[in-house]
Amino acid sequence: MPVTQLVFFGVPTMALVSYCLLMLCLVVSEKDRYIRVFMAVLSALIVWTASAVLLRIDLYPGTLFWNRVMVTGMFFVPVVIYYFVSVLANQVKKMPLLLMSTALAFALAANYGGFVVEDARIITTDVLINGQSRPYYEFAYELGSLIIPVYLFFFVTIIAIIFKAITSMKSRVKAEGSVKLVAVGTTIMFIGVLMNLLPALGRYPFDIFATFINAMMMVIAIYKYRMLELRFVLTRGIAFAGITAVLATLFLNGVVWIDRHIDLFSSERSTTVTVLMILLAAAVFQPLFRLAHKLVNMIFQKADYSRRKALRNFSLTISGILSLDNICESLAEAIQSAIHTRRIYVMINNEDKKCFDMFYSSSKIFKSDFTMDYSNPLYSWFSENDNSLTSRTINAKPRFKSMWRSERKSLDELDIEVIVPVKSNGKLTGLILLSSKEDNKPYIADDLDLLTYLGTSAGVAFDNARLYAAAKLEANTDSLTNLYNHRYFLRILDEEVKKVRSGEISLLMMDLDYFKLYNDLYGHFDGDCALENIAEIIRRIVGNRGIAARYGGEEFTVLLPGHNAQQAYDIAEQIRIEIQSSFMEFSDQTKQFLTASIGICSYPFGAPTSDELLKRADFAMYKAKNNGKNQTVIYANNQEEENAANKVPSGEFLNEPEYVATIYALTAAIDAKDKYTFGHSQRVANYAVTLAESLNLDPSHLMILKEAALLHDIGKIGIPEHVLNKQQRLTEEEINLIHKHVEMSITIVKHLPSLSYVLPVVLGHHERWDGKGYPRGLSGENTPILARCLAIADAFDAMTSDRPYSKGRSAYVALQEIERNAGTQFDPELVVIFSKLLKNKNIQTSPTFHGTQVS
Amino acid sequence: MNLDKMLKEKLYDDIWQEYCGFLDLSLQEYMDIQHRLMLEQIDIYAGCELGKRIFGKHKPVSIDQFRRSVPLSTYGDYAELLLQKSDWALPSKPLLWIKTTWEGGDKPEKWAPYTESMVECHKGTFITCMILATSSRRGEFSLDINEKFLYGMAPLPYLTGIVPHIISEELTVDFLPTVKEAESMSFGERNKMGMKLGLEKGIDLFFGLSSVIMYITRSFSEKNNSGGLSNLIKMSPKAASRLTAAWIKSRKEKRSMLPKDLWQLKGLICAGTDSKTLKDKIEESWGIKPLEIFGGTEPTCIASETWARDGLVFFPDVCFYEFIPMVELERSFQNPDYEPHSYLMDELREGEEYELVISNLKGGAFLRYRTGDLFRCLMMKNNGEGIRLPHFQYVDRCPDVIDISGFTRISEKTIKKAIRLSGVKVTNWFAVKDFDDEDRAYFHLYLEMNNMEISPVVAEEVIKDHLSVYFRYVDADYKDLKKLLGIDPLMVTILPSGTIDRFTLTAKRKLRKMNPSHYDVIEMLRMIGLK
Repeated sequence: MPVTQLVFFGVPTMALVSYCLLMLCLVVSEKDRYIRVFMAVLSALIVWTASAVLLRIDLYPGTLFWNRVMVTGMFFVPVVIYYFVSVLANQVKKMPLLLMSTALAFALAANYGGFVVEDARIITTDVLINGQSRPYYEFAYELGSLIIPVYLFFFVTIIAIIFKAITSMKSRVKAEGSVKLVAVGTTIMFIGVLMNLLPALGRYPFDIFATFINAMMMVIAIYKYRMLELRFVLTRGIAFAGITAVLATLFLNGVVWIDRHIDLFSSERSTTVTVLMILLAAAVFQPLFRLAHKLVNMIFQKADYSRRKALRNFSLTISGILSLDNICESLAEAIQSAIHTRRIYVMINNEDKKCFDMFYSSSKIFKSDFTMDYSNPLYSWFSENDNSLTSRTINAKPRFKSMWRSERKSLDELDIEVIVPVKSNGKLTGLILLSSKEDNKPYIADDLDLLTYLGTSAGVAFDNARLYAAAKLEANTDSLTNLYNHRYFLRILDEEVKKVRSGEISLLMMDLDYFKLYNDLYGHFDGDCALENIAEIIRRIVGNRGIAARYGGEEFTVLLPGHNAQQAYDIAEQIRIEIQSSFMEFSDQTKQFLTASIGICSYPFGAPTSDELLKRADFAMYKAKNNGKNQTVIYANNQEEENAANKVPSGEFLNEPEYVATIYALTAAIDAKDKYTFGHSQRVANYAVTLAESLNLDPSHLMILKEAALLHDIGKIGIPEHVLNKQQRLTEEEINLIHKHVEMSITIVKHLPSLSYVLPVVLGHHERWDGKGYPRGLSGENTPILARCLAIADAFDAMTSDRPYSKGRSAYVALQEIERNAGTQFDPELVVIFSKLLKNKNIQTSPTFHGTQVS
Repeated sequence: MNLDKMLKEKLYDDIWQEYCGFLDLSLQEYMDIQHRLMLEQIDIYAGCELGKRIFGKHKPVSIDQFRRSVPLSTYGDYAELLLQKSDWALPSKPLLWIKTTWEGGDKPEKWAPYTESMVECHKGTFITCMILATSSRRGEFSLDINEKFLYGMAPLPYLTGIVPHIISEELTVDFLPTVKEAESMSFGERNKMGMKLGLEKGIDLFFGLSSVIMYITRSFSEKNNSGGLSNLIKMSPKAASRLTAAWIKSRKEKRSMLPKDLWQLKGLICAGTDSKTLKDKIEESWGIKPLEIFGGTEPTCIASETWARDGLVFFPDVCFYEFIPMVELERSFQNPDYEPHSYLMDELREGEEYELVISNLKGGAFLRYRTGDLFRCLMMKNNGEGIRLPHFQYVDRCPDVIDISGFTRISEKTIKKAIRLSGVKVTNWFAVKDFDDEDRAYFHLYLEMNNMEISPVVAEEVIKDHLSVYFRYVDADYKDLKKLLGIDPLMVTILPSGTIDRFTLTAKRKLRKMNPSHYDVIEMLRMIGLK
């Protein structure tokens, strides 16, 4: 084939194939605005060259039609290139584009109206080549009347492009390097199209060749303009194109070979045979094409192979894992195998503390206690976005300007380059932090895509693991104190003891002193609060040195692996002292008596088995109780027998003669101090018990009431005699001092554990029905019934007894006063009963009650 | 990656995002940054001696609590520790101590500590200003590596001296003259050398106080237009050709030669109290619209105009900003014990004037510090440019201080001291800031005197000269005005004895000593027939 014919068909075909391949590559790649605009340029070029090819083969509807389509493409090209240059130079201005679009519309109208090219055709002549006659194709056209203004528009646009490129270079506005290339390319295109005006040259596709060079320069311009991803796309594209070209050459050679031997194109052969032969050749080459393309794909996807494998493995692995540790391990492995990063950290959302805690580190050495608060702008960013963030973005985005220096410093110290959100159902459950890559290369978009995908996959697994862990924790946790419960403790005790090889493990057994009394006095709510506070103290002091549990009721245990008895003693003492001092802080003196007795035993020196360890720590704790409470005792080997002999009685102590003696001794002491109230306690006891009997209370309650009545003023021991016996009106300060006697009673009686059961009654005898009493301001039935009985009895006797400042009133007057205060100071129902008892003389009074008169 | 590398790799969008991205913030996002960084500052502050003195035992836990519990402050509140440079008492260890004149203060100068974070931040904000100075549209700028930078500012330990030292880590800049040379030169020598080098190498960027830029412009015009091209033989061929081309250009347009004939600047940055009045003239002479920025020793560089040059926008991460409205300010002038109320950036109203109150972020020392600078809120958002942040115009110093060309600040205390030392028998006075025909600022002192024996006109000249001597003595920067800028900043008018009292009786209001109301001054002058 003559060279002119090769140029005639070959140049547009080559340009078209190249454009199409490039377009294909761009379609599948990730696009930004430069690529999008360049795709518009390519589209125009494809229209131009495709119609040039179709024109040459004289395809239906004919050469003139395809010529006009070609001119359409040709007019579009400079306009879109102008836009492309504007985008590259970052100087997009609407007005010139609007003007160009308008002119373009006119040019197109002129073109399709037949004013640009009036006629176009392919002239086929026969020429003799090597003695053989061969068809020779030529393109001929006649220009229309509007060719000059239309071409003028075309060239003005091209000059505008070159001018734009030069000015942007001159003003050193960005991307001058890229713009320079486009300027050169456009100049070449300008010269190429200029040749069309000379029909002698215009019949050859110089314009298309020049445009092709321009397009290639634009590709380089984009490439230079940091199109990292494009490198991959282009490399693959070029490889495709190369292999295609080689195969196409082979295919054409094959056809030529067949032609030589069979003379395919001779007029004697039927068209059917020719087509069949070509199809046959194509059938042979088609698998080769496919194979080649597959090969290219394999080569280029090899880099992706490790990523895809990592993803597949991770997806398979995590579905069966419920442990957060194991999920993090798998996640780190997947990331490591795909990206080869130096270190990987995983942070978990801690909803209670409103922060993210460091949970996992891929390094055994580089651990971190970095936490990320919810107020950190990274949190709000990841809550709203699903993409990963690089350190560069964090430094650049204005939103992250609110990060504290310490927060930035922590990320810098960990060498964090990428943070990946782990989300489940749109909720941020964790963060993956990645340090720099092993090869120190930056993370590319593919890496970030993979990481984001892994983060999303891990999200669901994280959620499941968290739910499982929460359920497990709930089963093992005491709901009140959030410490481990009895069941879990026994299991862990056994496991931990088994783990001990050369070291020691110590067990603290702790029991709160006076806790039953505390509960009786202040109710279960306050008791529970006290338990919570104490659990918090234990948790804080023990930290991660051991395992703390609520063993039951007011008993706590602490297991301290790796601690000997002495070390355990130090911790126990810290706990004991902290409990003592925190309860001393109460302004309410009556609450200042909660302490702890602690027993310690160690394995293997103190006990040979876990059961024995528990038992002996318990013995040591009882020893502490026996020795006067609020102390820590380490188990000694002979302690068991000792304890067996001295075990503290734990039942009720009612009616035991030695305690009764104590009561009378104390009553005598107060009677001796306050001569005016001599016998007051005894009388109050009688009145109160008589009242309580009529309520049908059981004997044990009557006994408590009696003893409480005898001891109710015991606190007056602590009040100076001159105040107790003062004849004048008491000052406010003295009244306050007198009021303190209730709390003082508690202080005295709490040191007599055997009498502690009377305390609620003693403490409540100055409370009022309307809640205006003291010391606690209890109202109505919140005051124990025995205390309400005692209150009436106490008031009645106080009014009927002679006082330093007044003579005793009659029983009648006293009763009237009590009745008057029924429902405000006293329980109204009890007042009615007391009144009946008095009127029926069921109560022996002194002075004697005489109906309505004073005796 | 530093700015040099980013420019080399043509990461223009990233550069814009990093340095100017704050202009895309919504007001809410802006306030979130302010609040969070202020909480960090409170946290840092609470741990130091200064913090203990200001917060007492209770560290504020919220911004509201902070603003309620911490009173507004002035330099005097920090003077004891800062003048001694007591590093130990400060929230963070200072990297630098920056000096400025304490006009009207107990000592001639003030010192402010700059932490490493503050210096880093200052570097970023100044680069932002450079980028914006070379920009005329969002996202577009022409700042490049190796720009020729005529830097007409004071060296260390003044604030403006930091930039040449810190910027080199980020961006290679060709300072005219070099930083090392400049530091051993006087102000005049530096400018002269800078212009000379500019003639040879060209100038891309210029930063100076507006008053200084205008002074340089005037000196340039006088020198080049009087000497014609006679100096050409002393110049290098490059400088000579530049000058010749400029001369031809100016002759073609039938006017005197201007800096714009010699150089096509990429960016011109100006600052200072007189910027508002001088900007147009600067643009006329240099052929480029200057970018006004605002800064000070205590707050550092805190605001810049944008590419549109239509108002200052405060950087969100340099200081925590509060604003005292004029009404509150007036109340505090009348009653010095009154603690004026302040408002936050999102609580302002367009068109109103405010005194700026700053709290340093990033470990700085000043909390709720009254800067004494007045700003007008031009707009709460700039719809035209798509900026959703308030824009401001620098108005002036608060009326109790008269700022002259950004060089010196005359306070009531300064004037009283100068009068006392001069021995002039002044019975009453007031002072007003004014501008001459060439828009140069001066302060006009109206005096009442006893026993006027000579004619007021003669006396005014004599007293002016006499007082000028004492102002130069009392205020270290006062003499620089004449020496460096050729400005005579004082004008004296002698009023008939009792004029001010008569005005007080007639108008039934007291006349403020410093910058009284413009209309009050007119009324008074009318009263005595001077108007």
